[in-house]
Amino acid sequence: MTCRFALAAIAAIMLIAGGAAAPIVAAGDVTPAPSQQTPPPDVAAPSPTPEPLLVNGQVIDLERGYVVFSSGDAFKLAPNAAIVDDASGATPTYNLTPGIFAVATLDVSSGLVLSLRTSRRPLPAGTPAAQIPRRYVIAASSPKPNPDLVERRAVYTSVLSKAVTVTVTVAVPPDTPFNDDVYMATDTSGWNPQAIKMQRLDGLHFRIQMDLRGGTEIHYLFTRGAWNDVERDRAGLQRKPRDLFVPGGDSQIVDATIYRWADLP
Amino acid sequence: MSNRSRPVGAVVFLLIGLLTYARSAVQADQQPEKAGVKLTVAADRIAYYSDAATIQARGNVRVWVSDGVKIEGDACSINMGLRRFVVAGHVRLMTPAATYAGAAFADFLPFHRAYFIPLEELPDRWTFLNDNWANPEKGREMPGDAFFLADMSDSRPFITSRRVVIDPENYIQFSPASFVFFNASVATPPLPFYVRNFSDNPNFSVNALSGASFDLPYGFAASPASLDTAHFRYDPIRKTYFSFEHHSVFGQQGYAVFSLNPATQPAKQWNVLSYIPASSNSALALNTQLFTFQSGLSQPLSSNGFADLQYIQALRQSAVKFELTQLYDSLLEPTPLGYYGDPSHPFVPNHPIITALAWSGFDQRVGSSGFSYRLLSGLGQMHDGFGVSGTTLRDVQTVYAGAILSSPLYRAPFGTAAFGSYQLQHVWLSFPNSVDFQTAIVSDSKSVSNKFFLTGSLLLQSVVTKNVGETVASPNASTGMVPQPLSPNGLPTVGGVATLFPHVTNSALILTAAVAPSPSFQFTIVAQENHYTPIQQPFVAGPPRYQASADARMRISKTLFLDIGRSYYFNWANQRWSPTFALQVSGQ
Repeated sequence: MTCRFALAAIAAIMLIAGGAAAPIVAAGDVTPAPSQQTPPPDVAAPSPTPEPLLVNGQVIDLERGYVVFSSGDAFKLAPNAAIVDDASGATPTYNLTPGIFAVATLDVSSGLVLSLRTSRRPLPAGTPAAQIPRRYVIAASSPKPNPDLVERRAVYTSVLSKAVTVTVTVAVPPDTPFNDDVYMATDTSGWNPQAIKMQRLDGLHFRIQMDLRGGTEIHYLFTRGAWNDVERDRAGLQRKPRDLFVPGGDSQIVDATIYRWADLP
Repeated sequence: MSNRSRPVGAVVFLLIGLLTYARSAVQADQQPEKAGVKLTVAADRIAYYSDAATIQARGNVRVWVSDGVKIEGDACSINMGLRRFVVAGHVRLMTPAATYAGAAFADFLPFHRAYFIPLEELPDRWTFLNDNWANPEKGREMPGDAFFLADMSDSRPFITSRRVVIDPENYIQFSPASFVFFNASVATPPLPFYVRNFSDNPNFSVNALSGASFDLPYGFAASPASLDTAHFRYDPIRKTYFSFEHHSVFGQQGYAVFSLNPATQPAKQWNVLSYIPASSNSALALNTQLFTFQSGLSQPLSSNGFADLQYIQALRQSAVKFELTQLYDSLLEPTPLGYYGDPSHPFVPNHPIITALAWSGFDQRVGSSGFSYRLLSGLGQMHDGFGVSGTTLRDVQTVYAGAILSSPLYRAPFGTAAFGSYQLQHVWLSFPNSVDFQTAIVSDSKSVSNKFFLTGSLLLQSVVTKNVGETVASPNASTGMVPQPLSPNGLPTVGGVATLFPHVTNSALILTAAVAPSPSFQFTIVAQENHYTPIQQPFVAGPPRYQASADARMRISKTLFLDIGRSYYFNWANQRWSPTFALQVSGQ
């Protein structure tokens, strides 16, 4: 009995000395004691009182107790969540319409948004909503993959796409009146027959260089400045517009040949 | 299960597997298609940002999709370039299958994919595939920018409105339309309608109006296959006036264009231009013009016109064109006085009919020399019971033959590239008369750098006419009887000037310098010296002895370029500079 008390007393002293957080290792457990581990240098040790997450993005809806960002991610608002203007810290004087920018303060323990700082301009602070751990995002259904989103050649241009220097060189028919200019009429210019003026390269070729963003697609036809002298096919029949797609990269070279003009035999 | 049924089952299983794989492969390789629907958007305020091809609607937004779906919300952003739209804020999605409440709805029209954030019990992510509004795919991953509302706070709209109809591939119709200028400091009063056409079909731009110094088109009605446009125009002779133009397109190849120009002055020109593909290698073209002198739609004081029908047939290595032209010098009933109203509107009985057949070969190589040639020939007949072009001849025949020979680009000394071509054409007319045309070009060019090109050219032209007086009376190019001359009055042209002499030659030395330091700026200067024989004199014959033209093209905004050009004539007929700068702003 005395021995039992003595062991209990020693254990109590050890607990107090070692701290309450010291895990109890069961007999036979091969896992080394935490005190023997060295945490990886680039991973912060978990904090007993984690900081709130700052969620940044464009707000597309605030209703039914949710704030929804343009990434499609919805977060639950705390019942007393404060909504303030980021610059003044006061209640916003503008309407909270879709399209405003905001930084939401997310309490990681409850998963609720405690406050929302709004602005008409994009805000720098926080983590984009799409990169917030999914456990904080409210969604009724489990995520499923989308085969449409398999990476493929860019279909659309974007402000983020890099400008590509596109060089279009065209060989004109030998009966092209020598003093005439050659133009490109494009769908992006409303088919203006003088939209893009080309430069003479030599006796037979004209050239133009354009900066176009990756993903750009334009349709075009060559003209000598008017629709009655637009290019035709070899037989003199009307031809379909040419297609120029810019997949990306640094530069792109397009070589074209005009066989015949509409107004010349 | 018997042994025999096992292979059948295996085949069925394999087929199901293949079909499943094919279906998933199609989904993974989803390609854009025509949207195939029309949108009607109404809101408290709609703004169109032409630079960004974006429409934004705010306040009490309602979007009707022509497939029966209606969406309501607080805000809407439509990207015309991507052909997709977003409705956000207190969204109600009303589909033929059900009505849903949510935070945002996005429709990628070319892909037939609609994305929705429902907010009925818990938020979720739904994807409607191929307009299946009853069974959304729940939880499916969405494009990251599906619901992004373009931030246009630094932009100014071009047009504001309260209701727009959008055909995503062809046009936007605003009703009303208020145009915003000068950084939003000036706005026009709301105009009832405005249509902006952005179709990729070039036939919407076929122009049936004659030239003008200034032309402001205003579209007021449209459909996927038509466009109606009023034009406010100015030219130095007619001054200001309005014109009207209607376009109908048939697929990507066929069109019919009607125009009335000017509509607000007595001297009117009614035009129809049409082109109908008959097959993949043939086509019909009909061009008609009617000229009337009438106030409004009152009884005309004069009326004349022509109709020109062409049939083009591609052959194996050549093409033929059959042409039938009927001209009417007066379409009004003859009067005893011989004129209508006053003698300036006389009755002219002539109504010649012209038939022509032209053949042209494709460019052919001369062995392995790099040279190529093209052959041309044709014949025509003009009949007029009242005499052809004021002569006593009732029938005139013409036959022509020609050839074009051109060299490849040859490497020449000093790192230059040389090129030459020679064109010869002989025309026989049954007046009798004959005209010989010759054009020779020799050019040498050098790339000084990747951005600087020099070209020197010698252009020799000659026209030998057996009888100049009868050439003046010959049918001109618009009748299709002869491929040249190209001048509108029937006179052969040399150096851009109509000939008046039996034997005319012009030799022109042309120097061209083209500089393009960046895609945003280009500069071209052309210097030309002409030697015209037999006489080169202002107001008598020949082009200017010396001429220099410069043209600069520069980017003035994200999508617009400005072209400025002017010529200098070195005191030719006391003329130094061309009367005005040629200015043009065009989008790229």
